[in-house]
Amino acid sequence: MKGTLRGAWIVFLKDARSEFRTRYALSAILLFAVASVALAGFVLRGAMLDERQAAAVVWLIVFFAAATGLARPFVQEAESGTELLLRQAARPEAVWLGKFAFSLGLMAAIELIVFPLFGAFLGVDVRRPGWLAAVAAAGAVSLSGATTILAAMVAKARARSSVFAVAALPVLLPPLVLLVEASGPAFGVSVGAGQPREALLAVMSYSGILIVLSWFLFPGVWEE
Amino acid sequence: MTAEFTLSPERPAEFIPELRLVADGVSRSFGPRKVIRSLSLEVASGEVLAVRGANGSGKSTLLRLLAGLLRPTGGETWVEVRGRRVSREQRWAMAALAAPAIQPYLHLTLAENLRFLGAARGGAPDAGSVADLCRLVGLSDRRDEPVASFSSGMLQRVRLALAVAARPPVLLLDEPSQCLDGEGRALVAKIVEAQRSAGVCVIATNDDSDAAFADRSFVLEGSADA
Repeated sequence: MKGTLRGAWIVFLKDARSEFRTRYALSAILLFAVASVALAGFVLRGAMLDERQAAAVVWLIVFFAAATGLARPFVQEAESGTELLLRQAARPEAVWLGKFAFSLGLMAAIELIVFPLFGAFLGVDVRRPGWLAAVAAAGAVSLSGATTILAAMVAKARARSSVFAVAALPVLLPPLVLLVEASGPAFGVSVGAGQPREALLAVMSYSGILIVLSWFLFPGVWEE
Repeated sequence: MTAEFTLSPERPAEFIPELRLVADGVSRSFGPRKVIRSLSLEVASGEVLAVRGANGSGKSTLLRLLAGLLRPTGGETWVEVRGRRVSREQRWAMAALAAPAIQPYLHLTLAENLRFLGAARGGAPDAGSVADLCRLVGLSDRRDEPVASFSSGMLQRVRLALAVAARPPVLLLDEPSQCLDGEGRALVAKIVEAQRSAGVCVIATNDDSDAAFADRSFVLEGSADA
């Protein structure tokens, strides 16, 4: 396990260094996030969104920003011909964990950009920042977990970009619906109402199941 | 027994006297297309084998199968030491493939690529051993430049450096002299000769000068269309 963690850290550092130099994923995510929040702000400002509508809009923006950039770590390996080198360099478990950690970092960056911008552009009042941070963390883990294994599968396909968007929808829709439900208290719904708390627990369970399944499935996906 | 990872080309790997690389009845298909059909071969320690055949005959596919980077659709490939098969993980640590289809990370420098490979495989490459490897492939003065700026011949030298960095007991070279000048071809000769004392070497090539390094040749019949 120590070797796997070490290998994952090396893969993560390699991806971070490449991203720092090229800024492919970050540029795409930043452009999409700023443009979509600004557009939503322009259209919806003053529309008096209720809590669920506000949560739905913000998670929709996060989802599409994630779909824009999170497939890159694997697709880039396939498109640039480095996949075989990576397969020789690191064991599959280390590759999955390193890529997952990198996606988690990108996802955190998306949320750190989108949530404050969303609040500022749409004038949405965040009443429970702590609760929102917990939901955002659960969302980051579930969405990056799902996109990591999907991106690994999609990297093997032709027409990768379009396949990713299509494949991501059914996998990411359940946690997104739950995240919208769970985000309610951040924008005013009582946490004691029951459903948001259950929704947050469901997202965390979904993430746990997905991560365990990915851990076991990934070697088969990666090595073929 | 796991092969030790060392980035120093000057430090010879431990010779494994009774090592054998084996393919037994191996087949490989890509969809309906059968590229390799029921192929068997063996390479022993100290031996260099040339795999020859027309374009599309499956040379590169065979090398990936031997490296354990591709699963056969029929038969099996393995590495054995003193008559015992090594585990899948040990085999991964023992084999290295250099092939035109393998690209280094273009946005990283040569030194960064070597350090990444060494660190990811569990070694702790020091500056001296990376410098030794860069010197071996004649790229010392370019070691801190992103490899995106390298010519095709220099990229081929990078592939060779990445493959020999681990001093692998099983070294697989796919068209090793591709794009190389005279000095580069001499580098290939040096690497293949050094491999005789480190384990086995398989070269996939249609270049007569590369094939001349080998003790024997294995010819793949037909092409992918056949």
